[in-house]
Amino acid sequence: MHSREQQESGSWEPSVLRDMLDGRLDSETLRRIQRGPKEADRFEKIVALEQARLGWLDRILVPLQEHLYVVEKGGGERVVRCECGHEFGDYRRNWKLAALVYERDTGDGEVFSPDHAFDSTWMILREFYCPGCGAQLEVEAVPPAHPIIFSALPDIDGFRSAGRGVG
Amino acid sequence: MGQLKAQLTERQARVHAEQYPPLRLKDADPVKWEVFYTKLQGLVTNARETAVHISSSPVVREMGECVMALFTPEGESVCFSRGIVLHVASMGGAVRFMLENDYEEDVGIRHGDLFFNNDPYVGGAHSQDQTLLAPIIVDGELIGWAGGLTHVPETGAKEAGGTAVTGVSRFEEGIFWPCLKVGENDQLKRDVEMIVERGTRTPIWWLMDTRAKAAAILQIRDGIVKLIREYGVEFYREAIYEYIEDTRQACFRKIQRVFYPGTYRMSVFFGVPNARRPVLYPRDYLVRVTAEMTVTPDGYVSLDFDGTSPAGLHTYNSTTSATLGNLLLAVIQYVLYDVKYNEGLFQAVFHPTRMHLPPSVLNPPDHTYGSGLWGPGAGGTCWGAMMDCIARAYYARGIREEVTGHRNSGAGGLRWAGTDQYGRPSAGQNFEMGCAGMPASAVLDGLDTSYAAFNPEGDMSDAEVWERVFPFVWVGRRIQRDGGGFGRYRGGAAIQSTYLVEHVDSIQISTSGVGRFGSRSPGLMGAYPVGASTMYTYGLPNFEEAVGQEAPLPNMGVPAWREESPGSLLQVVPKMLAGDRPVQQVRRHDLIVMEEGGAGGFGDPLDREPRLVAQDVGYGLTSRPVAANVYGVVLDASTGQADAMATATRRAELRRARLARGRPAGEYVAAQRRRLLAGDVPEPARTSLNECMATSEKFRRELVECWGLPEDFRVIPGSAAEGVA
Repeated sequence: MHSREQQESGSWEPSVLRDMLDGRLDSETLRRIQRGPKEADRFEKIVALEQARLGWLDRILVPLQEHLYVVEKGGGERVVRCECGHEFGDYRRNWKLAALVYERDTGDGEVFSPDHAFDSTWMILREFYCPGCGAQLEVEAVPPAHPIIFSALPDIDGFRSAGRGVG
Repeated sequence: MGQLKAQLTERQARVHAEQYPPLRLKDADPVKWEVFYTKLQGLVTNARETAVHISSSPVVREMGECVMALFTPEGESVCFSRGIVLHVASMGGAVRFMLENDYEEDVGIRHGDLFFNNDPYVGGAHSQDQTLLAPIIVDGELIGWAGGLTHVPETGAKEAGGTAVTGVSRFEEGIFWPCLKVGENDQLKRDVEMIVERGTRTPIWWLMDTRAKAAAILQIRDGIVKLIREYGVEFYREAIYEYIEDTRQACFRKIQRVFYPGTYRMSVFFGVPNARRPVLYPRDYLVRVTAEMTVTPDGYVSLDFDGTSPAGLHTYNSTTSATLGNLLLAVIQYVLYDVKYNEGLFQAVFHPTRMHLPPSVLNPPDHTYGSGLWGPGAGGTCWGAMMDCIARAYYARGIREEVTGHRNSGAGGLRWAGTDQYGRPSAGQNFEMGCAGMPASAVLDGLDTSYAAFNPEGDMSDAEVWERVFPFVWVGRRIQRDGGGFGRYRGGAAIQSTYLVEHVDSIQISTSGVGRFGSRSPGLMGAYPVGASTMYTYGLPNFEEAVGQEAPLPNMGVPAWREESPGSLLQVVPKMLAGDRPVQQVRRHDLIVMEEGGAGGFGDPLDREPRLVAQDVGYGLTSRPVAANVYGVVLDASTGQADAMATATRRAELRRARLARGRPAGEYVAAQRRRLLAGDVPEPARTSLNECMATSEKFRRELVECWGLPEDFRVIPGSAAEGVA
């Protein structure tokens, strides 16, 4: 289907969405996706695309964020897993508590130039890495000793009870 | 009780109980229904253009901080012009204030009356936001209100430009009138205008803006009367509520389709370094703004701001009106941009029974707290926290093209006060923030130097226009290198402006100065926040001699200029960092370098396409050290292109370095627990966390559970640093 027709119907071919996820889509088509109606089955399409490129078979319940998915294991257990395969445990517990943590003083000169660094008694960076592959999963910009933020707890059962993400 | 007040009470009770009208007229004749709406929309849009052309203020003419609207008799918005749509929230508050305070009986509401409000606890966000309202009365019955709002850049505040950076209460923020009747019989009162003439530094902008709004809202009022002749008052009365209901229903449909249900949380911080400023109560405030958004599968949104820092004796608080306006801006720009903008948005997303906004910096407990700098302060920050929640709900649902990070950070414009180049008293604020960078999305870099998130219509305007009203000349405007957050997708870069003080011996300048005390634009999902944006001033002691010999002036940040112009004859001597001293006196030929707001990135920087990094280096948007050390991209020395093999090796090396330096979270948590118990937390972080614990049991529990502290842990021990209460 031509992309203009897809835009009007709000239904995009998986190959177009694949290119969008990979950052390969031309800017005109991307603009049309942004402007067009949002297709009702987008979730299922994106999950199918993500599932196809992963090296493991357990089912994705929800893509949580870059690199991380909530997956359903054989015994029905729902865990957060990195695309490299590393598991962070039950999705109802903050995955950051199973990550590697590095607290960065922005004045260290590694990321920011000295005139763009923050005062470290006010704000530090907390970098969270996947212990399996070293991906940087989140960077918190918080005061020293602030609690680790639990960013997202998806309502998987609620979503499925509404008839989405099932099957 | 007046009839209108009774109507207001009844309408509010219905909304509270979620009893909404059927779309009877729409169902009966949808074409007529839409045509009528288009006519209403046309009226407010034309009125806005009228106001823009009458105003003398560059804030309205150049920046577009102007909006016109139609309201129901009870103050619910029906339709808005384009412009500073933040105030979809705030103008209606002024109508409700008048009805709740018995203006109908005690003050009188008559045809030809003009009511003025700039009390931010009634409507608007700070005293610069000035509303004018005219009742629309047909056959003796009040059937609505025409309203207009402009941002007026001088209000007689303690410091110029409408905002007292060093103010500690609202009573330093200039003249404020809570719904004052400033006109009768379509005429403005001269004695009222005298207050402005005597009480502000540049009265012309206030006075002309009031005339501009008067002309515009009377145009709306008279236009509505004509439309009613054509369509009948019964149709009008019913239709205006249907438009609101139509919006409410459309919001639910959209949210059901685009958000993954769940609970999303984010906390964002900003700093008020008042311990080092000349203020009445010199203590630092490190302000926490936290949002929790819960979305149900059927599209209901609940918002909870419990755990936000208490209101403080500074000017960075956000009145309820400002808070709602900011939250609304996040929603209408990034989610509900395809509905009719009106009160229905509030009924859907900010319904009173699903919104928890406890007394805090987002909802000050009384009307004495300053809110002049709500934008760089709490108001703008709550928007960022909500945007993070929205981004994650979009991402999980697969709507990746709509994922957008936090709003841009920024210094909040350059303000000045003193005698201008024409010898007149002058004060104001420019709008370089009209070209701040946009946050990155999940599919695209943020736009560089794009727009001011709070005023999407606004533009920075031509330097030549500003130079006519402002005793400065622009030496440079450029996209700031490394000025957006680093990530798989890069945050939009800030604009960096360089000014030379010219034509006057001396003038006072100020800015909001929150830059290096907290990033209000964090990165998303592995990206870095944008670096500190701030303002530096420099003296040029041998300016005349250097310019006489045609030495180039710095048209960029001075460290970068020194690299590009080694051995320059021009002496450049640092004078001040804005964050430390936000109000300064500068002299002729002083240089000001100001950075206005980049935004955070998206995703792990090591996932960024190496080709894009090389391109950014080529364009001067990314420095070579950042390319090598943050993006792990090795550039071929001869071609400037990314070397694929060397880049892969470098990235593997950087990932190994992460694995080596990262500590297992369990160890990190244990170490944090020990430091908290020992009181080893620096100020002002300690005071900030203690204040949040004292005012929010929810936050206290979060802290105790995260670090495994004793159940009764309530205060991080240790004495406060000197100068911190």
